[in-house]
Amino acid sequence: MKGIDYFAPPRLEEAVSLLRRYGKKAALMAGGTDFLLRLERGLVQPGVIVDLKKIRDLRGIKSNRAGLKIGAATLMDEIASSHLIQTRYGILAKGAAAVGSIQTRNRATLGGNLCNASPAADTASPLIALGGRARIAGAKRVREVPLEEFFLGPGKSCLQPNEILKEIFIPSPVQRSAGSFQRCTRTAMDIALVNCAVFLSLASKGGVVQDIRIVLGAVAPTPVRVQAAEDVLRGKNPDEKTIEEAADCAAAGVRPIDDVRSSASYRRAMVRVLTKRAIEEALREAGGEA
Amino acid sequence: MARRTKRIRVTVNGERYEKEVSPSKSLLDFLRMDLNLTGTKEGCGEGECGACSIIMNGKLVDSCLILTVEADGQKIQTIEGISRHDRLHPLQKAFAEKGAAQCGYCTPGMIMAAKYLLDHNPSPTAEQVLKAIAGNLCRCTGYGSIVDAVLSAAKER
Amino acid sequence: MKVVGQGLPRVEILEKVTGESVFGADVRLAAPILIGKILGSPHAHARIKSIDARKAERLPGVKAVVTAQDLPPVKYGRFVRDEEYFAHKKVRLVGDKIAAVAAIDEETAEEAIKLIKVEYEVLPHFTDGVEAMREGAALIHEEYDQYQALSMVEGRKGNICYHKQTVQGDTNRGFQEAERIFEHSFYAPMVHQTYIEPHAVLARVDASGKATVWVPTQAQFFIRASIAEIFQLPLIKVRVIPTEIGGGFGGKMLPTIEPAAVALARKSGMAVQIVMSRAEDFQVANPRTPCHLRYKTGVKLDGTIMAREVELVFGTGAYCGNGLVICQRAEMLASGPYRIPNVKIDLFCAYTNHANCGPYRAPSGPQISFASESQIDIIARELNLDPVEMRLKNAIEEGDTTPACGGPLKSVHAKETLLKAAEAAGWKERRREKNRGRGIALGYWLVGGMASSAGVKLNEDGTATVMTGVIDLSGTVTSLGQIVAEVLGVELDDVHVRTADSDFAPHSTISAGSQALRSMGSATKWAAEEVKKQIMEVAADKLEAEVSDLVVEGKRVYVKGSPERGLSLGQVGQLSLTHKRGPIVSIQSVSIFPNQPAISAHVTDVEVNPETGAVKVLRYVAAQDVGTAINPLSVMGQVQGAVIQGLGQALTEECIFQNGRMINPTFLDYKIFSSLDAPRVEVHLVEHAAEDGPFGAKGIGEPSIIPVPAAVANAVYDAVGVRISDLPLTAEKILMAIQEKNKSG
Repeated sequence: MKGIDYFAPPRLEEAVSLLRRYGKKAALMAGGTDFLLRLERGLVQPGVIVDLKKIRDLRGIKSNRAGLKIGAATLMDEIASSHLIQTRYGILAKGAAAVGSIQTRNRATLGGNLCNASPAADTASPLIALGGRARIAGAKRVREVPLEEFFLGPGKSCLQPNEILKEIFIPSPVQRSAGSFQRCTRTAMDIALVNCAVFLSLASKGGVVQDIRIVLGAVAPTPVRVQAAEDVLRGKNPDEKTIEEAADCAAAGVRPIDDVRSSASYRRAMVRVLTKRAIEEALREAGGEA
Repeated sequence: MARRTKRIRVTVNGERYEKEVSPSKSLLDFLRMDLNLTGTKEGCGEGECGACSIIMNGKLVDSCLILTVEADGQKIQTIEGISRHDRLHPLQKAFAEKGAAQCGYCTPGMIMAAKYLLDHNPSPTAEQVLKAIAGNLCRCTGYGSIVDAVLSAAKER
Repeated sequence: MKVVGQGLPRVEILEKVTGESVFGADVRLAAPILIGKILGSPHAHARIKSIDARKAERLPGVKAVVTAQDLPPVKYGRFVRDEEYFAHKKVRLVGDKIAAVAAIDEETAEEAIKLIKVEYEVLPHFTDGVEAMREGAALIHEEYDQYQALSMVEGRKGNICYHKQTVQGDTNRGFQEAERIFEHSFYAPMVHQTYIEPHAVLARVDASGKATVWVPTQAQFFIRASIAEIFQLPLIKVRVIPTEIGGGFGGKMLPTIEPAAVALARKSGMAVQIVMSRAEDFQVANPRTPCHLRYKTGVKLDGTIMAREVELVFGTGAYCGNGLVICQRAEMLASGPYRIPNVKIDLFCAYTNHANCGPYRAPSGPQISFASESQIDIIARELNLDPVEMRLKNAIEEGDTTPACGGPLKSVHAKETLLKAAEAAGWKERRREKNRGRGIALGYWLVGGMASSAGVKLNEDGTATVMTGVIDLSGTVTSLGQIVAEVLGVELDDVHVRTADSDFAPHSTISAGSQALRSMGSATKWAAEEVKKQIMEVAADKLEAEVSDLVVEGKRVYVKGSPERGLSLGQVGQLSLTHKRGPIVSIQSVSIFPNQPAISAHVTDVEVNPETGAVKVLRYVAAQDVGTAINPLSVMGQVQGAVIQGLGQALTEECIFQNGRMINPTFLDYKIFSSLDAPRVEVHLVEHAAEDGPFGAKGIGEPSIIPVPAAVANAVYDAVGVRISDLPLTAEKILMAIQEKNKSG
């Protein structure tokens, strides 16, 4: 850890040019709650830390007719306690509220949570379910990537060496839509063994599912959509049997591993339980009535 | 490799400091080693136990997961800064009376977490207290007496 | 009583709530302090082929590097001399100490550690006691036969560090007389005390060669003796200054990093601080011994227990350390708080390739209770008996004995404690609800007393100072002050009591075994009574009265019936300086005293989620037999805290090993309870002044953790009909058991 240099540029362009100047030696940091752990454990050994917190453009929650923009360096607690997000994009607020303690949420940022690319990230599943898109700033331009394509593997995102995640865009939810975020943990304060976000919309009348996204965390190298399970429900007015079929389908469609926190088979069982719960809750919320 | 240092200005408990620090030094180490404010504790160094909780610019944070250089220009409050001379903060009084500190190692961080709660919510429910201290591990009390103390301090204030 | 029995705040509480208290890593000196780091083995079991520390020594900023060559060739150990401080021939656990460095800062010290090159030849390792005990298993200590050991260390063979069989009656006959026989196996894994303050030490060696060590420890005189032994110094050349201690729970008794700090301080000529990281603390700092338990119990159909055979296998770790404390305790506790005519207990303690295990709050208690009380529950259900009735039928009474308890037991309140818990929980009035269950369990603990001494002096203004070296864990020091205040007729504020260091304190017992208050409190009380006598002696001369006519009360001493004929204690203090007897002071000693049971009875209500297996504790009722509660605030705090720790053991806590390395050495993956997991604990005290102990106090620090895992396991069975026999009762295990049960119909 000796001889590390530190920059906290006030503008995004400066951060990008620092990345260009230092190349592989440079590491980006936002809240630092995850980065500093890895630094302490020697898992990253950067020569230069580029702190993104001072960049105004990376902060804040803005909404318009098209949808919601959240700056990558926006604090987890700001997201969890934003009235707008709680009411319009509730599953994201719930995901953000599940990240660590209040101490952590007061430092950790949305961008940090996503760029760490942990398969268990509690904001990733809700954002994918909501159809979120990552806006990524490079040297020349800003590109946009659907969040489900953002993650490549544990700790690996699609960010190129000179790129910085700028903001997340979430399209406005359509009429009669709702979601649910579920997680399973060992104790109350815990990383998710499995998380599940469902977001669905119903046809203008009745209980037919028009569109649905089911996203699972911590059961594959990246957060994953289980489209086969979505297909079970799309275009149907689901009864209990259909929901169970979808949950079974989700459980069959994931690739969990055994680790110190849980066995793969328990994770798979929890995928089934959480998916079912999430679909049921989302349907209830979207229909306005159970 | 040559050691780089950065100059920072920081206000801690109302005192202004200007110091040269290594960019890799944690804010916790800076408080404990450079300023000798040893009331803030290290329990894990990994942001899991909350013993190092401080209030920075009005926000409760774990000082073990912050670099000192990040605190440049910030206002910090530690356990040493919440009472003046012999005038205890109501939380400190309540912790003493309710048996909310046993070994006392988690206590400074716990009190800072409770203070952050009361600063934002002067009359919390027991459930809100439990949530507010969820990032602060205590191995002695089982938390019940801590909740009692925070509720009693809220009444006092 | 005026002061004893009051729930007064702890005497040191203001320092604690203001952050002024000085804990292990908080000690600062005028002189600069070096940072020390220890190189631990990456292998669980390996031969050391070579150690080369030359590069580390040459690194700028490094002030000392020490290895086995820097220490006298001493084998040490409390029970067995099986440990050398720095390994040089073999390493026997991940983290076994090989070398230490002291440098001007942490980064340099860490860099130096990486520069030390060690070549290993890796050997097969065992982290399970049963495996290590198998015929032909690779030996962890090849020369075990030749090690010196205390004479109580029986049955040494292969990797078996200790084996003892204890018999009471004749179990063969007992099983013949029984109408049903039950046999069950259980397992309790290694768990860690996880005090929030990791081990820390600061050491300095002065020009005369005297070592001064600041350390948070439960046993300053142990630490002093160990350092003296390792460095071959007389005790007066080692001074241990106990700092405030951020939790111990049994894990801060034996030396860990202290000798390394002393060695580095001696070699560098500077003060050296070593603070363990949380991961190091998990990996090497004396966690709780994992244990296999087998219980065979024979009963009559009316529930009377006729015979019990118990076999316990403890994996003690790479060195014996304090491991046999657990065996000694287990021998006393294994058959439970029951009157059983025929008992046989087999205790095995095996060497294993992980950290030296040792005591953790009520050593062996929760493990034994988990097995024993789970089985009692099973038996009661099989015989269609109420679990409370079955326990009442067999519970010990005044004058009964249990194996190794040391004679007929006095101050026994097992039945009353059991009934109190049952009544408080509304045992009989419960309503059955789906997936909800209720469990009950008893805890058995014996509190004795150990050799201790303490002093009391009267100051010239009438205040009193207590001289003690006991470490304050559970509020003991405050209670000592209350005892002195009570005897001298003053307020707690008139008494100064703090822990003195090993140079100045009279020999004090360890803060462990829930006996510190009984032992130290007795010595302190006698010293206070002697001081009171001296006060009366001095006053009698001045007042021209008979000593027997004097009363000491309300900070005064006066003639019975005429309060105006008296002196303030301040006046007495002044007078004593010119009186023929001189300053008023007394130091008194106590020796070992007999065991008394401190019984716990717990009832808990849980809800099990049948889809996830997760357990939610809905209600927790704890009744505790405490003798006299010297300080009810401290007592309640001990019970509540112990229960929450016990719930961790029951549901979530476990050190998990892979290739001999603990793979969850973080609070992220070693799950202790947070505020959101902890239920409110309803505490009910059973108070009857005990035969021994100051003002009739029994021990309180440990017993309330004992029945928790069993109570939870019994409640889980009651809720969903599955019996988990290995701790912790994780959601995953419960779900699998539920699915298994559903499959088999």
